[in-house]
Amino acid sequence: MQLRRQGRSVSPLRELYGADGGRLILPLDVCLVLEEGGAETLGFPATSGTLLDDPVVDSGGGPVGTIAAYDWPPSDDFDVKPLAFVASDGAARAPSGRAAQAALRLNDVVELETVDDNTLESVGSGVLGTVQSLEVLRVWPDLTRRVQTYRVDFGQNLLPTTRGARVVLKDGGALVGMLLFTQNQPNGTCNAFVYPAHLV
Amino acid sequence: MNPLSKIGLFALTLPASFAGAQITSNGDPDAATKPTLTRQTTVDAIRLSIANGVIDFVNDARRARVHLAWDYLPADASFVRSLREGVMDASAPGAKSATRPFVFSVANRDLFAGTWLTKLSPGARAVLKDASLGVDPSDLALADATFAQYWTQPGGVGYETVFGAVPAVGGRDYYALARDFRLVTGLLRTRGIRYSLTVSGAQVRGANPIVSDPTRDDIVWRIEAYPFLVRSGPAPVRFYRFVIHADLGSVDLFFPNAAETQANLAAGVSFVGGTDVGLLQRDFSAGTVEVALSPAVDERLQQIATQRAESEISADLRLFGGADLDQIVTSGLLGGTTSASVVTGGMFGPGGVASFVGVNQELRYRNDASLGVLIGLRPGGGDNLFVGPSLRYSVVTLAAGLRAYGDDDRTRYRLGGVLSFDLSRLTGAKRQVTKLQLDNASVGGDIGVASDLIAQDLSLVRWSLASPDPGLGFSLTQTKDRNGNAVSDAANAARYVVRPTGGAKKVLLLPAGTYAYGDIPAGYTLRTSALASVQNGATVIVSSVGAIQVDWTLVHG
Repeated sequence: MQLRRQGRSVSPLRELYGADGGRLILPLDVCLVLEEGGAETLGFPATSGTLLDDPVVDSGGGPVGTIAAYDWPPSDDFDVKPLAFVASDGAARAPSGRAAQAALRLNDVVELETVDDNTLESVGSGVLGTVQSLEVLRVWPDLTRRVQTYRVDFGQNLLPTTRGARVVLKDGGALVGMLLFTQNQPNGTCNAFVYPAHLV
Repeated sequence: MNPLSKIGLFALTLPASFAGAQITSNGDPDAATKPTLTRQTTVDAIRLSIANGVIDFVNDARRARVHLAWDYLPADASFVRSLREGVMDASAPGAKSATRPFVFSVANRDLFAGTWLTKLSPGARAVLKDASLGVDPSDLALADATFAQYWTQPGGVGYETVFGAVPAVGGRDYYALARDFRLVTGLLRTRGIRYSLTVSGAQVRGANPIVSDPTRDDIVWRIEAYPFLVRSGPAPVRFYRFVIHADLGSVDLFFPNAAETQANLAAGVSFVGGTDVGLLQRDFSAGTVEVALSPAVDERLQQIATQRAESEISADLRLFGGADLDQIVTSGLLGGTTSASVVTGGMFGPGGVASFVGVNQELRYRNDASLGVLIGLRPGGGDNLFVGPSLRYSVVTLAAGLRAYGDDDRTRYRLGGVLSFDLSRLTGAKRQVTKLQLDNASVGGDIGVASDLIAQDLSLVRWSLASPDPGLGFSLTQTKDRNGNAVSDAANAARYVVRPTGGAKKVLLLPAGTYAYGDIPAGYTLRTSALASVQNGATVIVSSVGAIQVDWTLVHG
C-alpha cells in the first residue's frame, strides 16, 4: 500500500511499512522528499514540527490519517530515526512494524513484502535479496547524518516508491527491517539500505 | 470500459496500439538543430531536448547547398543525462560499454525495395532480435505481438516488472520503451520516406518543388540502440531505448537571378505510400512578414553588434523586448513569460550555420499563428545578434530578418534567417495547463518528438472500479498541471469518466497533475483503499515515478 503526505507540500508515494501502537509507520522520505513537477526532489524541513498534522493519503487520494511524529531535524545526527508516524483509525488493522532482533547473518536471503491495499495483509513480492553486511552506521540522508542499516542487494532494480517496503527473512518469514534507501545498478540489481526492525 | 476523455484519446499514427488509452503531445515534429550527445552547457541542454528537426542551411548569394536531416526519434536531455551516468547494460548483444549505444544504418532505398533485412549486419540483427524478445526481425508482426504480450498484457514478464507489487520499471520508462519500440518496428515496416523541398520568393533553376526518388535517394537511417537491464539473474529483464535519425543528404539550389537575395525554403517529409508526417506545414515561409525595424532599433543594433561581450547583448535585450534572455533561459528549460517565449534553433547565413537561442516577443495573436519580433544571440559566440520579425506557427518559429555581426573594422548587416523552435510553445508553459493536447486530427501525430519529452507530462495509472451497478461510476477532472499551476480554463481541463471494470485492471496514461473527484452518486461512498474513502471535490495527485495503482470500490452508504 502506497501513501503520501499531502499538506502544503506533497511527498512522493512510499510503501506503508507497518504499524506500532496505533500509528502507521512510513519511511521518513515522506517528510524529506517532495513530489515537484513530476519529479522527486529533496526538501528537508528546516525546523522541527512543521509537517505535524499534514494529511496522509493513499494512492487514490483518500485520507488515511495525519502526521503524528517524526524526528527531523534529527535529535541525534549520528543516529537518525528514519521513520514518520501517522495517526490513523486504521492503524490497528495494519501489520506490526516491530520485531525482536533477528539472528541475521551475511548472505541470508530476504524478500520484500508490501501491505495489500484492500486486505492490509503483508504479501510477499518474490523479489529477493542477499544480506551484504550487517548493521552499521551509514551515511543517510545527507553527508552530515548517519543511520543504522543493513546492506542488502536485491536482484532487480527498485523504484524509490518501493522504499518503506517490509524486508523479511525468506526462510521463516521473520520481519528484519524496512527498505530505506535504494540505488539501482547497471547490471540489473539494486543496492539497498535496510533499517533494522528491532530499532523501530 | 476505458475512461473517456472528452478531448479524445488515440494511438500513434504509425503502428499498433498500446494497452489502455494513449495520449500524445501536440508537438509538430518540425525543427532545426542537429543533435549532439556531447555538449553540456545549459543552452545546449535546451537544444538537445527539442532536437527533433530538420534543416541545416549553408547559403551564399547564388548557390545554396541545403543539407536535410530529420530526427524521426530524437533523444531528450534527460535520456542523455542518464547515459552519462553509465547505466546501460554492457552485457547486451552488441554492447561495447555501458556508455556507448549500438549504432547501425539502414538505407532508405533498401526500405523501399524491401531488401533492408538482407543488408543488415549480423550485429544489428542480433540487437533487433534481442529488443524483440528473441523474435528475428524477418517477422516484424510477430515481434510486435511478442513485445505486446511481454510488456502490455497482464502476466507478461515485462508487464509485471512495471505493475507488480515491487516494480523495477518506472512509468515514464514504460511509456518510452513501448513507444520507441513501436517507432523502430513501424519504421522498418514502411517503404521508407521521400522528402520535398519547395523554394519560394526567388527564381530557382530546375524542378521546384524538388521531390526525392526513393529508388535512388541517398537517405540513410541511423539507428542507435541503448540497452538497459532492470532485473538480473536467470530470467533477466532488459529493455531498449532508441534514437533514430535520417540523413536526407544535400540538395544544391541555383538561383539565376543575382538581384534576388532572399529565398524561402520549405521542406516536407512523408512516408512512401502513407500519410504525411514531419514537416506538414509547408507555408512557414517568412516572406509574408515584412522586415520593419525602426531606425532607432537599427542604430542600437549596430552599437550592440560592436560590443562583443554577451553580457552586454543580454543587457540590451531588455531595452528591445522587455524580456531578459538570461533570466528566461536560466529560469528553467520550460521558461517563458506571458508575452515572450524562448526559442532556439539554427541560424543560417553567410558562412554556415550557427546555433541560436533567443526570445520571441509576441506582438499579437492571430489564431494559432502569432507575429512577433525575434531577438536573440548565438550562445557561446558573442558575435551574432539577430533581430527580425517572426511568424510563429504551432511550435515552429521561422523568421528571416537582419543578422548583425561585427568584424574588426566595421559593422554590417547581412541577410540571415532563423529556423527555430519555440520551447515554451513546445512544452506548454504559456498555456498554463500542460503541453498535452489530445488531438486526433493531427496527421503527423507526435513523431519526431523525444519519448521522454512526452512522458514527462504523463503519469501511468493502473486502476479498477468495483461497483454494485455497472452504470455507476464517477469522474476525475484535472484541476492543476504537474507543476501545480491551476487549470484556469475549464475547457482545457482533461476530464475522465470512470466506469466499473468488472474486475479487470486497466492501464491509463494521464497528464500528470491534480484531479478532483466528481459525479460520485448520492447515497454511495467511493473507497480508495481499506483505510480511506473520498467525497466529491476531494483531490488526488496523479504523479509518481512508478505506476500509480488504485482499486476503487463504490459501496452503498
